[in-house]
Amino acid sequence: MLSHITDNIDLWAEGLKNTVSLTLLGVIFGFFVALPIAAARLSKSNILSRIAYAYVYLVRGTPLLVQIFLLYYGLGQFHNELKSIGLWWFFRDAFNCGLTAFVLNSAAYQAEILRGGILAVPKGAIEAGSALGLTKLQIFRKIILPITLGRMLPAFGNEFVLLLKASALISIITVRDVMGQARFLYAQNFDLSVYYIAALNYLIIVLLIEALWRKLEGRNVWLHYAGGH
Amino acid sequence: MKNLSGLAVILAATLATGAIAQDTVRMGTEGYYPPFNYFDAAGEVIGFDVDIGNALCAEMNVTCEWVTTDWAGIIPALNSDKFDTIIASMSITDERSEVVTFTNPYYFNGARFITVTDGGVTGALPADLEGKIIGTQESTLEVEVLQQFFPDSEMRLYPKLDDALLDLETGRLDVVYASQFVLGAWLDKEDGACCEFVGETSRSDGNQGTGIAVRQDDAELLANLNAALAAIIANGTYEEIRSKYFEFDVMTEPKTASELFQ
Amino acid sequence: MELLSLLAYGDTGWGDELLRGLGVTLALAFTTAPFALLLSFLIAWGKASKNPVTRVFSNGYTTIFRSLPELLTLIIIYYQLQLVINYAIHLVLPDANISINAFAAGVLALTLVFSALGSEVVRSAHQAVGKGQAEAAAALGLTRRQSFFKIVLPQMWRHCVPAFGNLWLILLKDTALVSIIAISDLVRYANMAIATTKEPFFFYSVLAVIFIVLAFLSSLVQSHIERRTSANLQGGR
Repeated sequence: MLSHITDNIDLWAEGLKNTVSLTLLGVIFGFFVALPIAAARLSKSNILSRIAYAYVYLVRGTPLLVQIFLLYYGLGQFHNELKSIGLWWFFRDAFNCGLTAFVLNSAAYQAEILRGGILAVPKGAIEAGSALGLTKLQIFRKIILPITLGRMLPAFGNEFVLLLKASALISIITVRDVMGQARFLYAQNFDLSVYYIAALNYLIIVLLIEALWRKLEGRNVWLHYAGGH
Repeated sequence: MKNLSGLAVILAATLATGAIAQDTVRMGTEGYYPPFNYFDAAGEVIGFDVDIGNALCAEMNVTCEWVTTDWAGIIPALNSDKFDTIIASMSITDERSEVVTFTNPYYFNGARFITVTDGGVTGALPADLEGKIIGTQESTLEVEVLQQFFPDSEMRLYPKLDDALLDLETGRLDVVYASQFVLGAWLDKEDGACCEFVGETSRSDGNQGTGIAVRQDDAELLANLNAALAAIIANGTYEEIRSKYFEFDVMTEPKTASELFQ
Repeated sequence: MELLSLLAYGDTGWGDELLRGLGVTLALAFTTAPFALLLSFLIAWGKASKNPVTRVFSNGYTTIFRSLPELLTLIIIYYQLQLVINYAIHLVLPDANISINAFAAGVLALTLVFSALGSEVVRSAHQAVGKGQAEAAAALGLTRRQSFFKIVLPQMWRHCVPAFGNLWLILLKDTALVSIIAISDLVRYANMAIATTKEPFFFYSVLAVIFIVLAFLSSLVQSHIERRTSANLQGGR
């Protein structure tokens, strides 16, 4: 089994690079896409909140595999139309398509985490903010966000791990991440241990994420608002 | 119904004491490789491989039962006794012969490049395809040829060949490298109208022809298959099947990759 | 619209194939669920065990199956299990060949993954009910078995049901992964249809609609169950 690692160290390194970058970029971009969605969900406007709800429902109700296929092969069907509006160069690339699927997917889940966290902030704190004359944006940045961020940290950590696991699906659309390298090497030698090596890779990354998250949560103990409803 | 049979299998795994002694031989194939093996509108698998397989079963006086599985897992599936033979246009190579045993070849498959007409690709030698993106199916000999002779091109691997063809049509790939017969059949259809062959046919150096794979301990089935194959070639059944699918002879051996690409 | 004719029943359209695939998808999910449920309780019980070996095993089991991509788990189990069984059988009966059918391998893999996820649900539900209940039951003279099945478990359901409902939805979606190890489920039949018709956007959209409908129906059932399990906590007899 060791030879499978040492003989192909460059392949495994490339695989790790793809897996980690996909996951990181997916989570980070997903967060920024989640912000407006959460805002829409919480907005007073009926239309906005319904559209956001529909989006979240759609994304959470369908398998990620189908979403990836839709974005890669489905949009590929319209390559001429996409070319004419100048977007084909982006969707042409498998990594981009996969990343887009992950971002859109993670955004839906992260929006729900944000929404839950924001709804859990006691009204008293927000009212105190307005009483002090803060604008809505200031209230959000200085009162809501610090309180909820600490609370939502575990949920975001969970989402990080979930996205890491989901990233393996990109191997089906030709990207050579950790899973993709395992498939490639298995085709050459039919030795199952290449899949065990892949499993080890994922396990180590998850343990690292969990260790990192414990540090983050420990640091932010003062942010844990103990107030209740 | 799938529910009940699935439940039954979980509670009691099927026991098969040696496929050879039975009257049914399970034939494993893929289903995404027309005209050799593909699905008709009713979801049944048909094609050149299937017809040859059925002819062999008739010759051996057994019943053929067709099972489909994914290409990347087809050899492990054979060795796990999910079926008794692989008739899926699998090429005979030394590496594969280490894990399964092959019959004598029943045809010779050469690989060729196709590209989008007027897409900017004019030749199919390593120099012509430098910097281009080549698509092919994973777990095939084409992968080895590309790795060995086309190091300056980018290689993309797909679970099924028609995924690669989809991407060729949409411009994600510059060329697709695969069996000339499969590509030829595709080019003849409406979907292949976009594209054309480029370059000559070749086969991987290690390709000793296309054969039927059986488990290494299944000597009796191997002997029966070889005898049946010789018989159907001798009595004209093979010719009949071949002419149904191809106007040309499929037993000629194409040039090897080193001859062509080095 | 002519696209819709692709969904026709019979030889001209792919409607019946997709229906067949849907049947397999549902069969996979419905077969996995009870086994995963049972195993979840067993594993959660193992985590609370006094025996350190059992605890380590249960925790390790959970960590592994929660950390690995489901696709990887599926592939490893599909191929490895077969090898292990063949090897074990050959030690005893050298001529026999037992084959694990793909459907069974899929159910097994999904069961292992979801029992790991489920065991966490059970564990937190058990903690939510609290030791007080079990202690009160003991004080009243109930055996440990009676205390668990008649007092603690019924109260756990209220906490479990929403989380299990969530896992069910995830299970429904994860069955799509078996299409990659060649089980002919909904996604595989859609791929077949696409190979012939070259309409990926249409068929994948149809798949999305089917899954949304399944999710919707599931959430209806879940609400019903939630109402019934919470009902007996409100108001007196």
